[in-house]
Amino acid sequence: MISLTIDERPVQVEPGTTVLQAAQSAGIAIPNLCHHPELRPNGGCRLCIVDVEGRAAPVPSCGLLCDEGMVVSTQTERLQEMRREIIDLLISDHPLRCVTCDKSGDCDLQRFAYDLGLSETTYEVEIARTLIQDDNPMFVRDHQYCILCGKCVRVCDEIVGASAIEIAGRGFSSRVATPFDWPMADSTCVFCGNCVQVCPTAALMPRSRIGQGREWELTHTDTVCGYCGVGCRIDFALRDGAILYAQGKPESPVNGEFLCVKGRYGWDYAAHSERLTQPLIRRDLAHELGLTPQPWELPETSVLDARLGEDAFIPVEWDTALDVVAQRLAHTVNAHGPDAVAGLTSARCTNEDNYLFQKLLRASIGTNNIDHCARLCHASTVSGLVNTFGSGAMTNAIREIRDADCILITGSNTAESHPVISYEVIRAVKRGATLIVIDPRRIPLARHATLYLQVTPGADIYVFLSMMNVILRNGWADADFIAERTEGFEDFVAGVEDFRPQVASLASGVPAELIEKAAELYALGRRHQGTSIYPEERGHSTILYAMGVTQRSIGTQVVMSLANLAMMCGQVGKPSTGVNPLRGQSNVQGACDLGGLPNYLPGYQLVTDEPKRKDVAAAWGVEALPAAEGLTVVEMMGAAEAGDVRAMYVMGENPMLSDPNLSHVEHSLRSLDFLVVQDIFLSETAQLAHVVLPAASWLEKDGTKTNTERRVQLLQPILGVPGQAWPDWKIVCAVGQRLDEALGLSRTPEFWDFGSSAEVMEEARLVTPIYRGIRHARLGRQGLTWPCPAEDHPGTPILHTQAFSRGKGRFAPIEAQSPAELPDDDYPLILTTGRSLYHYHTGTMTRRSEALSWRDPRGHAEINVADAERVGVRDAGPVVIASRRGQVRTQARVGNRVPPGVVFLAFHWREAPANLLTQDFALDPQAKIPEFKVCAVKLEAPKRGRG
Amino acid sequence: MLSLLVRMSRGLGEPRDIDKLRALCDTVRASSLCGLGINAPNPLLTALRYFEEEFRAHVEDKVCPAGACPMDGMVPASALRAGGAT
Repeated sequence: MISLTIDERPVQVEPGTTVLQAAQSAGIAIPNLCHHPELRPNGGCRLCIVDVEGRAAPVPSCGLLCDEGMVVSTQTERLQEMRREIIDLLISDHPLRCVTCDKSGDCDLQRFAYDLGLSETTYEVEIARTLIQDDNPMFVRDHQYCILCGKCVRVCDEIVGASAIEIAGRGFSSRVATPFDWPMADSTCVFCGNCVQVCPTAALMPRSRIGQGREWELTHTDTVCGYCGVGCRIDFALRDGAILYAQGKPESPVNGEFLCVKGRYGWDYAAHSERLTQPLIRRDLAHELGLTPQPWELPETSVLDARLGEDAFIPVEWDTALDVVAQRLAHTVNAHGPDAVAGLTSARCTNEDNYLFQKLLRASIGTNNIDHCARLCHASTVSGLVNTFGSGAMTNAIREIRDADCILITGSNTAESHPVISYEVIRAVKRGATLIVIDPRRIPLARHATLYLQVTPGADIYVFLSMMNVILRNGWADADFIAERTEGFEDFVAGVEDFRPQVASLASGVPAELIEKAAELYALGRRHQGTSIYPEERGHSTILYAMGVTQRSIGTQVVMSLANLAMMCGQVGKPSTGVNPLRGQSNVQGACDLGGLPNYLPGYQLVTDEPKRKDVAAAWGVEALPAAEGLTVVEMMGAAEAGDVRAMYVMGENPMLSDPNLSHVEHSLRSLDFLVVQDIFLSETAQLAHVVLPAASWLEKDGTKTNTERRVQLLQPILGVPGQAWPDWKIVCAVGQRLDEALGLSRTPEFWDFGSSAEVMEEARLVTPIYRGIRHARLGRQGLTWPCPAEDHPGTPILHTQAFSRGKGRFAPIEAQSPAELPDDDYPLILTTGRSLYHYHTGTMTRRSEALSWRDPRGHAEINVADAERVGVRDAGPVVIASRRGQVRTQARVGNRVPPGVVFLAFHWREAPANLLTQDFALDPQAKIPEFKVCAVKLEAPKRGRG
Repeated sequence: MLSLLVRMSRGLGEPRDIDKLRALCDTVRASSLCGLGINAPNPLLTALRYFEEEFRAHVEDKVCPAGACPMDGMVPASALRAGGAT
């Protein structure tokens, strides 16, 4: 500790603390305009100057490190006079229109001018900057109000890594500008709005709040973002019940102040006119039930080609809809057995919603046919990591990534799919960590990578095996860790010996020397500059991965090879290490945790484990629970087509866009006797439903969600529920009650009777061992990370610290194999699918957001220049992509982001659904995940005049 | 600073501008980050020290004893921005 004196007060701080931080910790406020605790000291505004005994001139305190015995004064008359002069200069170049300014009351410049007693400037100059840059729907930059503090520039560079803006010009013509003053959209801007958030004045303002009221007229409520699995807390500013803008809060445990474009601007969909506001019954069923005199038939044209509107349905009261659902489901159970019913639960719904939904399927209907889209994203993570570590989730916390010495990212387009996690990566790289990116596409993070390994889709497993080969030959393995913490090493090692880098290079297209270098950086945790915060000789390396690894017919094998790699180097169980699957949807972790899977009861208790099954049955007060594993998502579709599954209940999922081989999915859904869909919009799946139940969106809900780092966080409703929509858990309870009656099951009243989502969690935690200590009242703003087995347990941010969840880590022998469908003469290219930054999954929410759909309204395919030339496709021109299962037409974006022979298409677009092309015949044998990431396609330039 | 000086040279200066110039020079010298800021005010401060009477003549009597300044009461708009200094 260092002792110093600030304003005659003794202060003690850790070494490395700045005088500004020390003063703040002692409650002494020093004015500043360019400082931000998450950014490097800038020293540009000169307001934070302090006098230090023994120094002639004042020093800016933001960049001054505390020294033993330092004597600092922060408020002398001379300093105040200088600060007054600086503010005077700043406001001479800033319009003092505080009476009509939207930022009034929330403006740092206004605050310091007030503190120093300056109401006007003593300089008579015109304001040099007059430009108003109003070129996007997210924010407006009014250069008149800019004080050139540079915070926006630095946040863009140091946190986001986009480096879209810089201070251009000199002297009075200095201004924040994009390269060549291009419009924002033509720069590298990712529209995350973090620049808007840190702007101290009204120079950068969210467009949505301009003219809508000042800070003191707004109320604030925060909740957890409903998009990806990062689980950012978002603070919403409201006036008269409507959202004006969204922002991050420094105290948020995951994201701090920073958000991505979806979180910050993607909330307007909730008030969209197409929201479902009352229960609907399709006209053919309504006619059958005598609710409408006109007969009607479902058109045969695919809903992807001709969208069905709400006029295909008639609105009904909740009672009617719920009775129909209960009776139809009961009829199916009675006539065809419980396994003729299947349910898709939702990774976007809360833990409470999911818990009740699986209870409905298991206890009332009596089947384990319950699954959700985790099957389509991280099923292989669960199978692969459970096999090796014993727990299928992120091993470490998101905040630890910034302190890593080496980061290996593979099969994750982190900057677009989990932008806020990519901010952690950027921070680490800026502090000197090395970054290895292994991906077929030159993703945005590749620009920041120390090593970029452009691998052929499906061949990454050879690279990992070869890295292990290199590590073993060079003696970089952690022998102590292997001996003490793991088993099965000898059996596994033999399988690695053949994979010399030269061999892997042939299979993967990655140069052998890059594989060797990557192995060294990862195994030893080497930095490119700076020193590690960790004392050991071996630096800390972490692996981040996502769907590029898992959505494969050998997904489990690839996940296990990453686990082997980490164990071999001892890079597990310590801070900033581990194997970290980045999960796709806001509560995909929680939906799995609470039993939304066909083989697991809540808390990953196998349905085939009789004692555990009996415990859950006893806790629920039911006689028995089904013992056989149920069907997975893709298997359900097959079973529906075959007539084995006759009725489905889909809560907040859209398989009509998200599942592979859509023609097959549509045929399966149409084959059902009864389909009930619970959603917030009339999704492609809902258009095929007999009954549609209107639900509340994440902005209208309470309950909890579990993010990718296993943090259970509390939601708060921001908006009122539209029309007659209900929160999902209420709908499930109402269906459950009526279904039990229809099936003649006698229940205690509390079986489906819950007063709040908190009461649901009280029941759920009792049957879910890893959640046992989690109660709503304990969560607060910080949440708790599971395993949390008791009410006094603090949660577990890092897994496997002393022992692996399964005891010893198991080295699983790896069987490398090529993808199931490889290119051939007829279909010579590989299609790989993924996401766009501006959209989320099947676009039901993001495509109804004005801001988000502005940037990427209809989608596009990425095609390499060489392939485009060969078939005569132009950049921005139309292209047809065809596979053995179908074809789509979209816009081509020709470039070098994908290598020759590879085509990329995001799966958000109903106009060009990537999943019409993907295959569903080859599933990972353990995880049953389809191979979205590799299928064979061909390209055609459409002939003129068509379409 | 330039803006204040241009105004004086056109006969538009006020007596208080001399104190204003001194205060500005002091702040810039003391709180600048770079060497340019620390030294740039020196010529002006020297001029104020040795030729204060000349400055006073400009702002009090509105005359330029050396006959070098236009003293025409006009300020070109560009001069308001430090002579459009770029």
